Order: sequence, then C-alpha cells, then structure tokens
Amino acid sequence: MEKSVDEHNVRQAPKGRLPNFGGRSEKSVAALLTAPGQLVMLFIVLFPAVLAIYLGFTAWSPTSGSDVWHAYEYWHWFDGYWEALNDGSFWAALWRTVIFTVVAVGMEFLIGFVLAMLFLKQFPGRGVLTLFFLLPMMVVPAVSGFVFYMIFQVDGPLNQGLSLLLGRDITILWLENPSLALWSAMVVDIWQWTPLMFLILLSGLVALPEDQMNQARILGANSWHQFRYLILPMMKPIILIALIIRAIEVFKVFDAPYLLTQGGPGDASTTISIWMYREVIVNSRWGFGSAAALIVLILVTIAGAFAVRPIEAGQESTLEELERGDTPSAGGVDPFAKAGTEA
Amino acid sequence: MQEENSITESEAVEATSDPASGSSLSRGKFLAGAAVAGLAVGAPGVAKAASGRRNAALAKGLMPGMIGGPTGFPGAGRYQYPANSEEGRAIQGLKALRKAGKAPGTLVVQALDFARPQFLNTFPKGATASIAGIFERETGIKLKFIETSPATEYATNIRNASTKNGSFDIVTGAIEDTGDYANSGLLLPLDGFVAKYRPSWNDPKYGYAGGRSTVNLFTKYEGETYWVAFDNDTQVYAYRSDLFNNPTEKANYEDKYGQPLRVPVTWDEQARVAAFFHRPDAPKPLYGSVERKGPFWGKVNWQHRFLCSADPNQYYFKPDGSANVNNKAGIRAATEHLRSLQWSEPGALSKDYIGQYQLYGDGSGVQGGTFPNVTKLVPGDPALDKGGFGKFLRSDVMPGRIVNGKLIRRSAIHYNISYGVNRFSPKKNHEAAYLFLQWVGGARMFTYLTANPAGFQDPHHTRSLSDPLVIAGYKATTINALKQIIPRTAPPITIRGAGEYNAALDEELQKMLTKQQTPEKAMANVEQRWNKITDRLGKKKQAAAVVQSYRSFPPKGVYGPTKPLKNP
Repeated sequence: MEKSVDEHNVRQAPKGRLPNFGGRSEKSVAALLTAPGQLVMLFIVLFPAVLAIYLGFTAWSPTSGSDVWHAYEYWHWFDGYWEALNDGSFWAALWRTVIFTVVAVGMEFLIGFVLAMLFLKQFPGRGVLTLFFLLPMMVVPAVSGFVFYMIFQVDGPLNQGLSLLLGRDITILWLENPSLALWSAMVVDIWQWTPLMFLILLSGLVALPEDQMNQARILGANSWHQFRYLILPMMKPIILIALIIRAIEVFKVFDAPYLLTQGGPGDASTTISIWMYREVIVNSRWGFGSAAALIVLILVTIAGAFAVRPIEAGQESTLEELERGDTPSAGGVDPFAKAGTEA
Repeated sequence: MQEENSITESEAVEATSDPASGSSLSRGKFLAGAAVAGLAVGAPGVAKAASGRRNAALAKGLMPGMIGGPTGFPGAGRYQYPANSEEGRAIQGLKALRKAGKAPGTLVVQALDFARPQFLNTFPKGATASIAGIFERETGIKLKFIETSPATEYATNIRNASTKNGSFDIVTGAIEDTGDYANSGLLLPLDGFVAKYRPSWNDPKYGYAGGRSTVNLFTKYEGETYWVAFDNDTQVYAYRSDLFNNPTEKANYEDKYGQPLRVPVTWDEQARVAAFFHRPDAPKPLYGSVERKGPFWGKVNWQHRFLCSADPNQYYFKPDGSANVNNKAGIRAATEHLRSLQWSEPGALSKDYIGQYQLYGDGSGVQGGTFPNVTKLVPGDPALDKGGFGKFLRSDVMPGRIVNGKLIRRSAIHYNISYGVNRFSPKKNHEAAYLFLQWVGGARMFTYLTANPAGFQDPHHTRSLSDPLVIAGYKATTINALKQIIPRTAPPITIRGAGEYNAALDEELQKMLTKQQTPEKAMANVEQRWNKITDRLGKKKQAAAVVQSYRSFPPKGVYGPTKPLKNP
C-alpha cells in the first residue's frame, strides 16, 4: 500500500516539547512573542504619522524658539489646511506633478513595453544588451541629475548635437525656458526609470503560458491579434502593478527637477515634493507643510484606491473562474474567436 | 576696544626681527643685541630672565614676546601673537580651562566643504603645521570637522535645532541665517564670552575693516552677538582690464558716446559699457555683463541696484516691518536686472558663480559683480582660466546711482561664512568653542587663514588687507577695492524668516527674468509675499529686528572722489 506524502514526510510536533507559558493558548503565546516586533513596527509607522497630524494643526516652526513638543502653543486647528487649499502655488505644484506623473509613467510604459517585447525572443548579445538597458536604473539620481544638467546646458552636448544635425546654431534653453524646464526633468526620469518598467514587463512576458501562445499561433492568430487579444489581457495585472508602482514613485519626484532647475525658473518645474521641501526646509513652516502633506496623502490615497480597482476586479473574476472550474481566460476574451479562428 | 600698547611694541619688533625670515636680523645678532642691551641697562638678572624667555620662544620658532602662532616660513612672525592679544587671551583661556578640566579633548566643528581645507592645509612652504595642528599643539585640544555645504547647511541646521542636536560644538552658517538660527535656539549668545575675553573686532588696527557697523553686521542679531565672522562676501565689481585699457576700444567708445571709457561708476554707465562690449557673434564671443542671474546666485544683482537708490540708506523693509520694494527703487532695480540679461551669456539663468568665473577666464566676460576671491581663484586655474584671461581681471567698487547730487555706491553681501557656538552641545564645551573661534577669527590668525589658497573664506580684517601673503593671493586690485567696499556694504536680510524672504524674492525675480511676469508685477508679488510672512511671524517683533538691521548700515555710502559722468 502506498503511503501518502503526509505519512512519509510530515511529523507532528511532539506534544509537551514547547514551554507551557503558564497554560496560555498557542495563539496568545504567539501574540506575546511577536508583540515587541509589532510594537516597534507600530512605532515606526505610526509615530511619524501621528506627529505629522499633530503638527498639521499647529503653526509651529523650528525658528519659533520652542521645541516640537510645545507645538501646541501654536495650535490653530484647520488654518494650515485651509491656507494650503487656498494657496494657488500648492494647486499649481500638484497639477504639475500630475502632468509629470502621467507623461513620465506613460512614456516609461510605452518604451519599456516595446523594449520588453523586443527582448522576448533570444538573439545574440541579448544578455549584454539587457544589462546595458538596466544601467540607468543603477545610477545614483544625484549623478544622473548632474549629468543631464550638463547635457541640457545651452552650450551643452544636446544643443551641439542638434546644431550639427541641423547645420545651424541651436541654442534651446532647456532649463531656462519655463515651458521646457518641466519636460526636461521628465526626460531624466524617463531615461532613468524606463529600465524598471522594462524589467517588470519583461518578467511578466516571459512568464506568460507558452502553450496558449503556441496554440494561438497554430490556429493562425497573427502577431497583432496575439498581442491585442492574448498578451495584453494576460499582462493586464502586471501592467497595472507596474504603472501603480511607478506612478506612486513619480508622484514623489524630487531629484530630477530639483537638480536641474531647483523647481524653476520661478516655479515652472516645482513639483509637489519640491513645494513641500520649500515650505518645510527653506521656509521652516513645519506645521503648514504637515497639513499640506496630509492633504496630498488623502488625495493620493483616493486616486490609488481607484487605480487598484481593476486589479481587484481582475482577481475576483479569476477566482470566480477557478471556482467554476474554468481555465482563467485572457481577461474573459476569446482570442481565437477574435482572431477569426475557431478555437 | 583698543589693543594695549604692548602689542604695538611687539609689532615693531616683529617688523624687524622675524626669526624665520632671517632677512633683517639674524638670530645670533638678535641674541647678542639683546644681551648687550641687558648689560647696558645694568640689570643682568632681568636680562638673563628676558633672554631665557626669548630663547624659549625662539626655540619654538616664535619671535620674542610671542606666545604662539604659525612658524617655519618667512614672514611667519606676522601671524604670531603676544599674550595680551585676542589670540593670546583665547589660548591662555583655553589652557586655563584645560587645566581646570573644563575643556573637551576634542572640539567638533561644522564647516563648509570648501572652507574646511583652510583649517587643515599646511601653508605656505616651510610651515610646520596647519591651523588645526597649531591649535592642537598650543592647547592639546583636537579639532574634528564635520562637513556641510551651502546648499544643505540651512536645512541641516534647522533640523539640528529642532532635534536639539548637540553632537557638534561649532555651527557654521550664512549671514542670512542669523535670525532663524538665533530664534531657533541653535546659536548661543556670545556676549558673556566677548566681554570676558575681549576680541579686537572693533579695534581700528586689528578689527573688522568697516569698524563698528561691520561688526554689527557680521556678528549680531537684535543687539546680541551670535557669530564670529569668517568671511567677506561683500561683492566686488570685476572687469577685464585689457579691454578697458585698449586704445582702440577707448577711441571707439568715446566716438560713440562722447565720453571716455572707464570702469562704470553708475548703473546707467554700466549699461552703456555692457551694450558697447556685447559681441555675442564675434569669433570669440564677448558678453557685456556677466552678472549672475540664476536661482540663489542671481538676486544679489538686483540688490546692488536697489541698495544704492537712496541717500544714505535704502533698505528692504520699512521701520514698521512692511516690505519696501514695490516702489520706484525696487521696480527700477528689477527693470535694470532684467535689461542686463540681454548682455549676458546664453544660459546665464542656470549658471552659478563658477560659470561666471569660467567666462572671465576664457575671455568672454567683460564685467559684473561677484565674490572677492575672483582674482584669487581664476588666474592660472586650469579649470577656470582656460583662455588665460585671468591675469587681466581687476576689481572695483560696485556701480551706484546719483541721489540728491551724490553718488551712492553700495555692495550687497551674499552668504558670508560665519561660525557660532551650538547651544545644544555639552555646556562645558561652550567656552572652549568660543575661544577657538576668537583665536582663529583673530586678526593675525584669520589673516593667516585667508592667505591659505586651499579654501574660500575671504579677509575682512583691516590687518588682512595689508598683509603681503593675502595681497599676493587676492591681488592688490581686489584688496584696494575691498577697503572701499566693506565700509559701504549694506546689511542683507538677516531677520527671522530670512530664508523665506530671500526665496520669495529669488523666485519672483526668476519669473521676471524668464518673462513670466513684468518687473512691476514681480515687485508687487514680492511685497505681498513678504508682508504675508511678516504678518505670520509677528509684525511687531519683525519690525524691532528690522530697526536693529538699520544699525548695521555703515555710515559711508557716498562715494567721494569719483564724479559720475553726465548721461549722453
């Protein structure tokens, strides 16, 4: 008689070998043992949040002469929130950040996806090239910021290259023209973080089920149909996760615009992080900065909740399909039918 | 506060008998002379004792009567000090503290990245120790430096204040940070130590070049002393002398404007000269006015134009604390600042002072306000002096304006490295920390420090401005200009919130320079933002600080001998 796997390999932990802990249940002992770690984590996460909320209700500044524990002396309830909500520069910075996020993440996704598709198949030098494409991601942001600061100088290599190409003197003010400064900063972010998108998407593409792809090919699906009705739907959760990760990161962008223009000229490339930096660090308005930061946090949380919905919806439909005993489909679409081929 | 006579006597000895130089009087001759003099007065015992002290001093490489200072190179005696001097009192105070167990074994000094080397670099050839080495040799106290930079220093120190960080003893900052650091509690008031150890800052010979108003400007906030000054970032007007002395250029300028070509003394003249020399399409482009225009660095060029608009003083705030910029003076300065952009190099809005120095070095820059070390750092520097034009650089007083028939020329001051005592460091370190600052910030030691080419801390003592090593470094042209400039430098914004006021001004000017708004709108916005800040921080308190700032205005503003030319 064959033994089950459980009978072979799994042994019950001998009773009475664990300390008694005064007759407490295993659950309460586990809670007791993990409590110190949990408390440390709670403190690390909760303390700054509570402090920020507390400071947000005050007009405290380090230059006020009293320490942070006496910030209550500057208590002014929602005045800081109200001031931020009525501050044009706050909304302008937020709007710039949204534009930056949409454009940069969009471009990173497009370029990253195209590259990932190109790198899906084996070709000579693929490994070296992959490494080459990942290099920007490994550069310290301060270094990349400085490098692009030099590139974007009016007499820098970019204008020189364009001059050579076009046969006339090109003097585009990449960093000094308020209409271009933000876009120049986006270029740096796109250059640096497209590799991450490429990496995530490539790993997703590599993990796609080979048999379904082969089946589609055998049944006559052309490349576009494979991409549109098979790859894209199956990649949807990965794409969404990649987009959300990058959007969260880019929304906090500071390095590139700060290193290139310090948020200028004027405030032309001031993102919300630079705005916060100015209020908190340059202007020493910690109370006001905390209030504004919490407003941003609330707005981003709301946006994040909407962004995560499609993933949750996808998970739910997959679970339903599994419960029904079906093979999880490519987003509920029959690629072969759409390809004009009987499945 | 006058130095005692003994110092002057010591100086007289020093002038003729620097043991290290060996030029005027040999050691043997000196000792023989001393012995003869001792015998002549018929007091062999006294002579023996005096000779013993001299021998001890000489054995250390010091001149007779001196108790410490640098040794081992020709002229070292100029930087040595007697017991009864600001450096001497500081060293003796430190020794006493050490003996009483009230001084630390190590002082932790926060210093800017480009300031630190001047403490650590042994200079000049033959010198036996760096400044840090001399300090350790004389007091037994080690110095440990922690670095910061102009870009991060304010943020770091505001965080230090909010967390009461006492891990370092000496704080560094810019003069504009004074109000914020004092209000945050980071800086310890130094008046008690100043009264006890009597630095010579106000002394006509050993003190700060501008006298009492400069001491007020460099060290005080609301009447209390918080800083010891370690820099002189009063702005000079740099120009290329070969262009201004070129006979063809002179003749062409006179033909065009009916006036002789000269280094401009008014801003109107400056604009004419800039327009005349501006040749961006020449095989070797020439830019008529290479003032800094970029964020953080550029606003100072609005300030020069603004500060000379009244006789005697034009200031940024009215005595009631409200902004004083949205007026004829502010708008005219802004308009001129914007206009001068047409004579600047392409990309001027993103360049800092290094970019400006490079333009001077490669021969593309004609003129513009800048830091005094331009003539020290550019000539011969492989990175800055690529065209070899550094040797033609000269400095002058900032151009000005005619007000009530008088020519008013004011420089702004930008940054100015200062050091204070960290209130949050261990209390027993405070006195020693101050004494270190008095010692190295004293006329002799600070002159020695600024002569050192390893860093950017510039001279501001009267004594420094006649020191051969300093003059050799900075060139006579800048030293002569500084003698005129320091007593005419207007105070910057140092009141609480200075960072915020300056950032608002900078941002609005940047918007103006990039055509996002007019000069009128820029000044209106600055006024609105400044008044908002003042109201938030407390108008009454801010007004009191503004009134104190007025006291830092040097009495000189009128520039005497040079008569302005009539406008063509």
